[in-house]
Amino acid sequence: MTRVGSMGREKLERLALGAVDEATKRGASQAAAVAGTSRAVSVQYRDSRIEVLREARSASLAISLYVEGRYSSHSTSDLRDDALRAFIDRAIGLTRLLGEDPHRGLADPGLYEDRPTDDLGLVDPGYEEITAERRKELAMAVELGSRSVEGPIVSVASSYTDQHSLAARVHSNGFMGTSECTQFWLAGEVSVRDVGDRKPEEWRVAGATTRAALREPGSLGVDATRRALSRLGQRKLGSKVMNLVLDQRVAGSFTRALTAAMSGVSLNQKRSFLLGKIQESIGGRALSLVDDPLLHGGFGSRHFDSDGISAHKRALVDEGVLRQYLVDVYHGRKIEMEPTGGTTSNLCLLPGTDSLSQLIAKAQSGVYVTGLLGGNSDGTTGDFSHGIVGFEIIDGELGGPVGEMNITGTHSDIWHRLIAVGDDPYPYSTYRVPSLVFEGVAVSGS
Amino acid sequence: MIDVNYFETRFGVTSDGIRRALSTALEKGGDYAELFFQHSLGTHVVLEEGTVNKASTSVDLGVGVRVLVGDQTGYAFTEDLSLESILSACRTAAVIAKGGAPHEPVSLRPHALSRYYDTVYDWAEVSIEKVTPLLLEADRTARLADNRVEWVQASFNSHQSRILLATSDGKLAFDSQPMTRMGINLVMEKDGVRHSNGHNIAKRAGLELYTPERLNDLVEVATERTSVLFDARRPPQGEMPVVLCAGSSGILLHEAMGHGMEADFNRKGISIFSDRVGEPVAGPLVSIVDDGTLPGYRGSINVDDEGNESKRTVLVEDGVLRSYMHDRISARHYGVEPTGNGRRASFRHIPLPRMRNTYMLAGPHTREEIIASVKKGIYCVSFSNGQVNIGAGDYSFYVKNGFLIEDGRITSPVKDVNIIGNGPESLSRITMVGDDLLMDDGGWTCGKDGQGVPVSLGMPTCLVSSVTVGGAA
Repeated sequence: MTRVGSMGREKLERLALGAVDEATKRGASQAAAVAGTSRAVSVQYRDSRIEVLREARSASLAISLYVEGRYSSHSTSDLRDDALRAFIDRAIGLTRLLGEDPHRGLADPGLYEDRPTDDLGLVDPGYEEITAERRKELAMAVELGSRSVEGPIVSVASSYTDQHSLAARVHSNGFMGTSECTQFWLAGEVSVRDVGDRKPEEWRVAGATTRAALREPGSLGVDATRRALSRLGQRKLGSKVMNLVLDQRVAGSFTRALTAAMSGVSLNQKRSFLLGKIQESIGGRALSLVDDPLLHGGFGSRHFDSDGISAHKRALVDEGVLRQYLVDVYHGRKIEMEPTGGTTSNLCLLPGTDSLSQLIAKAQSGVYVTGLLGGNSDGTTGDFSHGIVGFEIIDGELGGPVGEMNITGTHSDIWHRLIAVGDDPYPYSTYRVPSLVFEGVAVSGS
Repeated sequence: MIDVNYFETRFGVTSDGIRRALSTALEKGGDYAELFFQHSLGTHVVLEEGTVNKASTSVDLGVGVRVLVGDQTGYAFTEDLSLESILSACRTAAVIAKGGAPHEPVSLRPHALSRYYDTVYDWAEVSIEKVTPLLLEADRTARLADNRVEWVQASFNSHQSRILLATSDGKLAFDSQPMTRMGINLVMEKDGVRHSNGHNIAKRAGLELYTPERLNDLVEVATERTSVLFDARRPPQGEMPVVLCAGSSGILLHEAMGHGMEADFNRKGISIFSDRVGEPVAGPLVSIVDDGTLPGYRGSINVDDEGNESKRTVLVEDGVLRSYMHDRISARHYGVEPTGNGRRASFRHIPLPRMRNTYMLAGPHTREEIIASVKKGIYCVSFSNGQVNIGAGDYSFYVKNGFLIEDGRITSPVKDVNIIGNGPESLSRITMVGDDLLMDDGGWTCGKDGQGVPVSLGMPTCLVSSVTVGGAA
């Protein structure tokens, strides 16, 4: 049996089973364990020379303990037998010192039933065959693509990374499952010379769960250089209310403010601007959010979540109306809601039919945002403010690059201003969100 | 207690084994090899809804092996400290050097370290029974502080990391690195409106850090910063003068020039500060230091993660760029002494030039005269995070709490705005610098290349004459 990271599948399962067994022997009424291992390799180039070669195999064990009505969780990468016994012993002892929490406990085993068995396309069986030479070729191919574009390039950095991971999960009330995936990633970052000392940089990444699905590296490199060159001559616009097009690469992280406010943690703490909003409109009709764990090749795809609940597709927001929260078992008990799954898998904002240029035409004037520079949001009120980088939109077409500006607003307001959704969900993330158009946003510049 | 035999006693890592490992790492050539052993214990304890009913611990053990050929790096790590596994990692890291002549490492000489934190204290030995009463007291005080308080979360973190560094040029260093943090988050509710905020304190210290005064201060600041949000509005947006309070506004330095002055970006020619050593990069009142020697501060280190001595490094002096922050590779590239800025998140990571405690030196003005000089602007009090594009030089940071300044006076509270500017431009627009340098006690973590390291920052009150503030239209 081949090993994935630093140990084979059998050993991993034995580790998880053994930990649950040991915990139970030492007084835990319930216990859960996840043993995981992985191998990761990466090659980084800069300006045609290797900068870093990196490879490692690693493994770890995580446990959750329920002891006399008390709960705690622990992790370790020291997997020697004696060390593990001492680790579990110490963990049990610590748990006894905590206050009780009647809501803590493993999921009802009924939720483990009907586990999907679909092939999620997450494992490339040829992973171990990849050679060091091939990895270097792929990384260098990104750079060759970058350099094929004319322009005042200062430096090109490119990388190729792959990883193979395996995890075994065991719950003392009858759950057992393993999950395995391979991932392949390419990245290119290009710095170009602008006026003065400015050297704007832009980067592009692409990934896949199989080599066959991985984007052609040269085209990634070309894209990175074109994006970097498009930053030359950036200026700042005057402050005003504008329409915004958020690029697919940026729209995903902007959407996280919604899913964070939908989480059981936030709802229980009453730090959520979506509290009490089930069945209410929280955004425009163009806003539909679905969590899809069975997406073939999805980076978040899974057969079960961290509570062991069998994975199923969930419609979270339907044409602007909030239908479900993201409730894990523990917080579900606290806020008296059925668990729906506490974390997102592949969070999809359902695409529309407009291409990016059609979205820009719809926006008419304003800014096409291609990058967020810092900023934050307040989960309790929904207030947000972010730095932006992008391009001016004039008469429905792209103008020159703009930056050193902020967008400011409130999530409980801005999603009602969503007027169009693109046909381009971003594929290289667990947030697959297309480009979005918002009208009437406060944009600060000069 | 300094225990250079720690890894031998507990994990069987002998000096002979280390010598063999370094030889193996250099068997394909390579200029330099280094082993970074780490054993760390972390504890996290949480109080919520009046009970301390959640805790987690983490144990991390392993060794990272680095081999350098000029500026090229080979890296591998393993969590298995058997000699066989370490040698395997060494062979993997050695692949970067192809076909060079093997050479033997220099014999190891233990490196006497300066001490900027108490290395006697061992968080691994502290029972959570010592921590629980602190959290309960914080909870009690917070609930009494304001009758709008609806929910309180108090959390405690401790971390004890033991590292052993052995390098092919003879350095052998052992350090035991403590870290602790306590935080409060509050939700207040009035007439159906809710606001939340928090505060935290973090230091390289032991349990003695948490005096009644400090805990009261923690609750007071968290309460103050939450309650003020009920009256806070967004300021009008646009370019305006910004006064940064003393202390945590050091985030300006961290983002506007800190990352841009890390030497790796500069030797690669991609930072806006590349090739500018000796040139003015800031107003003449501005002097900025990155210092790993401040006793007890989060960014302080007795030794960096390449075995180099921690230092106080002057980055900018009276507006002129004097030095970058170096790791081994860049110090050699520039032909300078290492500055002790080579840091890594763990044995799984490659050391890079990283900040430590970054601050601006005090200047000639008073806080009062700085505020009085502003006709229309904002005064920034608390911050959450920031980011920078080091090539373009554009940076931003998020202001959670602040106030309007109108006709030279602090007036109404503002909240939740992002400030964005260009590093060299903003630094040259620092026209007034206060005499009240304050180092911040907060739990700041700096991110770079997927690695987080603990840092601190500090600032006197200062005026940036013009920068872009997010706000209401």
